[in-house]
Formats: sequence, C-alpha cells, structure tokens
Amino acid sequence: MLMKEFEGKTEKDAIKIACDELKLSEDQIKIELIDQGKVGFFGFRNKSVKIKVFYEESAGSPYALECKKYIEGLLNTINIPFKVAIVNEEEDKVFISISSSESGLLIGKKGKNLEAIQFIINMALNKNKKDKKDWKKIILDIEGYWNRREEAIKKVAMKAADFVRTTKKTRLLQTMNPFERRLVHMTLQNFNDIGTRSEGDGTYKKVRIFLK
Amino acid sequence: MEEKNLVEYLVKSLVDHPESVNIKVIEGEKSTILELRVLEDDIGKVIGKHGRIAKAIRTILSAAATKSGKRVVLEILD
Repeated sequence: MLMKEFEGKTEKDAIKIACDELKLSEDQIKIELIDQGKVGFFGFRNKSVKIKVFYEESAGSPYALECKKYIEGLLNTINIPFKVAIVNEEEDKVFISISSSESGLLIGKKGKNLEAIQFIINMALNKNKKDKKDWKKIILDIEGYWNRREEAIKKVAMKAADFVRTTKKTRLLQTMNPFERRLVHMTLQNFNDIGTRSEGDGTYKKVRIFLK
Repeated sequence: MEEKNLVEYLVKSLVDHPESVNIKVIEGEKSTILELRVLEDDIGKVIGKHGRIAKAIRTILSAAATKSGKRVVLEILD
C-alpha cells in the first residue's frame, strides 16, 4: 500500500486532483482527511484542504519492472531496509517511489544523492538506446521529496521577491539545477515589478531577482 | 565488502562487458581505496561526459560509506 498527500480547495477538489495524478478512479483509493482548511469570514475557505491518499501500486510494464528490480538490486548491496514501488507510467516516463527508514541518506544534501541515483539508473537502463529520443526517463522519488523541494523553492522565491520589494536591492539565490531555476522563473513571472535572470555557467547557475 | 559490491553493481550495469570489470580493494587505516579496471572500450561509459557518471558513482559511494564511517575513494584506472 502506498501513500501520497494531496491538496485542493475543497475535499472533492483534492480527491479529483489525486485521481488525475495517480490515474486511478475514486473507488481504487482510500482517503483520509488531514486538514479541513479554515473557514473564514462569510464561510469562505482561506486554507486548502489536505488529504492522505492510500492506493495499491500498479503492476507496471516490463520496463518499469526492470527499473524496480534494478533499484532493489542496488539498495540490497548497501544493506538498508527499503520498499520500491512503481507509482505511475507515461509513454516516455516511469515514476518510481522508494520508502526507507534511511531516506535521509538516500536523499542527501539538497537531494544530491537522489539525483545521482536517478542519473545512474537512467544511464544504466537506457544504455543500449542510441537516440536520446527513445529514452524512457525514470523519475525517482523518496517519500515525496521532490514535492517538498518544489514547495520549498517556491517559498524561497516569494520571500526573495518580498525582500527585493522592501529593500530595493537585488537578491542572488543559491546554486540551482535547470529544473529548480525554471520553477523560480515561473513562480515570479506573474509579478510585473519583479524580474528574474540566471547568472553563471554550466548546468548549475544562480538566479538573480531584481526590481524592474 | 558492501562498498565494493555497490560499485561492482553500478559499473556492471553501465558497461557493455560486465565480465571484465575488476575491482581491487586496498584497505588503509582511515580510508579504503577501490581501484576499478574496465575494458578500454567501456571506460567512457564509467566516466561519462565531463565525468558526470564517475561523479554520480562517487556520490552514491560516499553516501553508502557514511554508514560505516569510513572514507572510501574510487579510482578509475586506464
């Protein structure tokens, strides 16, 4: 049995988001309400509803099963307790989730270890495919780490924007990978007074946030 | 040895000739050195563009090594 948390404006909304993302119907999942959200003035909700969703893992394609087997073999060599599950599958992507009591060790600082494991798995399982277009990308997650990281980055971006507004100075964020930088740009693109720009060379750059 | 098995598993999955992967363990007082030899044709598959694969292997290795509290160094020989 797997578990994932979802958020929505109402409980119904959250369930719909969960079903869409997991590609399951409502009777295939079990739901537990964690946060009902606050009902503010005039009955408007000003906080989103949080639910926990329990579901069975899907059987998976031969490729997904191969990925699972590979990860199990890898984690067996380092002797830590773990559970690997195929969460979802798309045409060119497989989503795999690991749960372990040693999740901190597997994730590493800022997700460094998780990134390395994901990179190696992708190299190993796609090594016979010459064209990168034929790759079926494996996305590894450990106990919802990417979601948590995404939220954290959005928060950092918003905070930096506030800082820039009040002090009229620019702010340079820590080094980030392309995906994380994109997230910062996207989070702040709707503010007309705030600009973002990547600085530096290579895969890992820093984002500067400034007042337009 | 755990770390040796780990590196062996990773490297064998990456190369075209897993049978010629050879790892020698040199145990020191504070650190352990793993000397890795692969077939010449396979060396690029272990190092990768700009050493990306080698870096990832070393990252995973040092994560695994923190459990035993020892420093483990991977050397790729050619």
